[in-house]
Amino acid sequence: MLKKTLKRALIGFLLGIILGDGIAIMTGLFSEGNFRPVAVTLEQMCGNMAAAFLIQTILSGVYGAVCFGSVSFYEIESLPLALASICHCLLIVILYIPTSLFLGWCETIWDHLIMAGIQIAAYFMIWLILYCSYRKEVRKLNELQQKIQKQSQSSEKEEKYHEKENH
Amino acid sequence: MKKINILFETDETSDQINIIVRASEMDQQVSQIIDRLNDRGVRKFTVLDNQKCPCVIDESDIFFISADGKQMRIISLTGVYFAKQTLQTFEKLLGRNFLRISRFEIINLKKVRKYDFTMIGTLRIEFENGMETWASRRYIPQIRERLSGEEGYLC
Repeated sequence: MLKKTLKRALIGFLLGIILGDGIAIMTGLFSEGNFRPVAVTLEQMCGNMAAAFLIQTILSGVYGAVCFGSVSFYEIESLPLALASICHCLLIVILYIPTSLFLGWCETIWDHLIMAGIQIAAYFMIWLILYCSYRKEVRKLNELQQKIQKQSQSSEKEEKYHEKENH
Repeated sequence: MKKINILFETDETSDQINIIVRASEMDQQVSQIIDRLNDRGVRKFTVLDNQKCPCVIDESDIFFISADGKQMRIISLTGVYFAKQTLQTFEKLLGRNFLRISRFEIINLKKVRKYDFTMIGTLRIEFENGMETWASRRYIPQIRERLSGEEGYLC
């Protein structure tokens, strides 16, 4: 499982960079004045835009690596679905807040909390969809089980009938 | 009981013996025929009871087998028994209606009353004797395949 987790983390790192830079470039194109793919606060902290962009790229990659790598929570057999969802969600939200604060992705603390709330709501939806899907599967199991029970009951009745006839 | 017709067909192109059982549905009679063809009647096991006395139980009476420390605990129609064999050994000996649902348990699918998916995401399995056990959601596809006979017959 460690190999799988590391593989996922690597893919997540690359996706994080692509998405992070993609969003940064898109927002930079639409920002007031000159092209600005990083927040002003970050640029001031780093001294120049290039360094700020590099740090943002790396941290986006790390965030992506953690998001994808921690999908392995769902593969831990002893961890029920709800707990796996909670662990994954908490890890992502807890990591998002300091990352977002440092990179200046949102302006106020309320914006950060709203984003965290949106992430939690998204996780709840994911859990709900998975839960409904599994319940549907289990309903099919019960239908098959009833079919088998009816078959064995009718076969037992036939056997008893034939035994009586033979006697 | 349905009438059984036995036919023999020569096939010079075949280098092995193929036995095809054709029926309208997989019922008890068909399962018994396939068992006999596989030379697999109702298997019996020698186990120990609570007083550590040896006794024989039918495979068909077993609800589930769980690992209990260094020995196996067998919940059967006639009571609770114990055995020294490992779960792996039981897996090889038991029929296809038995399925391993975790590192510590094998269940008899024919003795299950119903399945339930809990809010926290585990599969609750209730047996005909009222006992219950839990399995990971990962076993749902395997159980479905066994019950629908996709992997083969459920004997």
